[in-house]
Amino acid sequence: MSFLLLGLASAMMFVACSILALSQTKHVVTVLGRGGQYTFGKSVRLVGWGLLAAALVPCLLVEPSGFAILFWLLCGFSAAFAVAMLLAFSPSWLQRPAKYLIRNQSARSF
Amino acid sequence: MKNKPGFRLAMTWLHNWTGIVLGTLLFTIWWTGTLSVFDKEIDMWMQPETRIPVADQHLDVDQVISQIQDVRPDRQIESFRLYLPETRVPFFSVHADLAHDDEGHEHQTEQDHGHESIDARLNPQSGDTLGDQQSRAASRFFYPMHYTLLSGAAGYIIVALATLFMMVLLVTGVVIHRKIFADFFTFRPKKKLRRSSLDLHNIAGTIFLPFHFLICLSGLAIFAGFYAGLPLRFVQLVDPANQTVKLYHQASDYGVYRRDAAGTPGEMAPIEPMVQRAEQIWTVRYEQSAEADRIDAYHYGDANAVIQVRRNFPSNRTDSRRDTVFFDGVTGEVLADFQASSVQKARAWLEGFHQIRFDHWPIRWLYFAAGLSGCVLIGTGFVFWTASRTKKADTRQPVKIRLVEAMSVGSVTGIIVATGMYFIVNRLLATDIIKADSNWAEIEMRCFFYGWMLTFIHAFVRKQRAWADQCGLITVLAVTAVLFNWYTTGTNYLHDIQQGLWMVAGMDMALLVSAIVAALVCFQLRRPTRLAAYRKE
Repeated sequence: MSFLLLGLASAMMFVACSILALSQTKHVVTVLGRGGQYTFGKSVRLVGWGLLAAALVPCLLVEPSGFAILFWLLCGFSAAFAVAMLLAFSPSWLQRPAKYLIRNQSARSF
Repeated sequence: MKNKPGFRLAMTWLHNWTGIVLGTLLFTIWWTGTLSVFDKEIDMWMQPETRIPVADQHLDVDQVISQIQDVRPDRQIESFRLYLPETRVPFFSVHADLAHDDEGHEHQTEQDHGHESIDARLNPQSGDTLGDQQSRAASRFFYPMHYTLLSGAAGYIIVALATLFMMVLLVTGVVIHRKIFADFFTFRPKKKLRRSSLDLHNIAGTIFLPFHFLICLSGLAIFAGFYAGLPLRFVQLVDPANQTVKLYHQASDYGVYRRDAAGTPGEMAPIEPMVQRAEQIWTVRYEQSAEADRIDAYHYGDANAVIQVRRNFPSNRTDSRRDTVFFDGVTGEVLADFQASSVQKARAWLEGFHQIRFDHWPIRWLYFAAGLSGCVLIGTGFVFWTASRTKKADTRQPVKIRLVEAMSVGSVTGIIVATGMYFIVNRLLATDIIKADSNWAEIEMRCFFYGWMLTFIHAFVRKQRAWADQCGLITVLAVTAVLFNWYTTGTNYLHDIQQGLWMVAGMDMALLVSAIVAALVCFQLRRPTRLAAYRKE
């Protein structure tokens, strides 16, 4: 159970970092190509930050506060680094989330 | 408020030159620190005799002491330090000083005056000794190298200054980085080397910035007592008999309870109940289970014997502890119960954060990754500096650039090559290929340092090609280390997993992953376009 919830927290942080990265126009361009020049509103960024903060909850459910915060911080850093590497080497992996965000958020084409 | 251009330029100058001058030292500290995250695992890999599955139950302390006494029944144990088994070190580790020899036996040197001690590691269930510790492995080589550079008091001071400058580098790095948030996820590996290395430098630096800063700060905090006590050390230098220094450190860290030996023998009370009593005291105080990890005894066998039960590194807490209970060795009564002050607790938190002696595998791996990010930060800093100054073809490269490049290669890939050689020599020493009786550790260390020195020379000769050469060598060394481990111990990765020896399997796995990563980097660097881009930039 402990590992499941820590895994869930890690996944949440990875998704949160992906959303935060995709909230930057240049990364959407990297993911979708030149045809996909979109810019997202603040709401997307808020979702990203919210998800990042929410990832602390499963950590706190299974670990003492010291371990939970340490795991949350270090996993958050690693997730951000992993997203940066993904954008650099396999940006196509983030195409689906980018398209999903475009469909469901008030994205503005330019 | 925007930074003035002049200020930013000054910070850039400071950042560049501090990085270049201290880069080798900083990379050494970070690399050895990163390896020290898994020091016990490396120890187990390099010392196959300690590959024991973790036992649920172990011998009691009195049985262990009696077994140690049986090694030299003619000499009474005078004092001892005993580390209890834990998950990452699943055996007893004991150092016992024997009473002075008063019977007029001849001694080899005048200095020993009959002083003799026993160092042993014991199987937690059978009590059998695990053989002599021949290799320094990681916890007696990489770990002390991380904070002393194996240079004693001077090393402490050098590392402290380097750490201070690392913090200066982090702060100046933030000042000179114009687009911290805009470039937070930006890494462009297909751009020119100058651009891609700066991108990687920036993301490793900004994403892990809080970790890097806090690990430097906590590293300094751990030895705050040492730095504060430097004047007292000077006193000790002038007057070696002065005990103030020793007492200062003991009192500040673990409290102090000392009494002179009575000079009359005393019947020792069993120690195991004392350990249970101490654990009970801590469990009630902190409202969570607490286990002792170390026992010290003074004037053992004397009527004034003192038994000290400690809990330094709880496995279930992030912070270290200073909990110590002193017992009368004869009656078993509590003499003193030391509790850390608030300041000591704050320091203990930083110490726990830095030393990660707790038992939490996911966090340990994350620390390892964060440690590697520090290595990437320093390594890419070197690469960027060299690449941005290599304007012409390598044949016209100025000597100073060549020197810095050789230093970069030797510092970054060179120390990794030396580490691989250290592992391989350790395994070779276990065979008959290299004959070694008593100087096992010496041979390993020499191979490490000579091997490392050679990488600098190789880098100077081979110029930019040295990066790829040494990455290729890392691949070969890492795979060879795994194969040698298999050959010398007869166990492989699958066998270790079946036996529950995850620490050993993890080490093999880490070596194989390193081999793959180094091979990929080597392949990338050997691509003609990449090499040409490097030269023409």
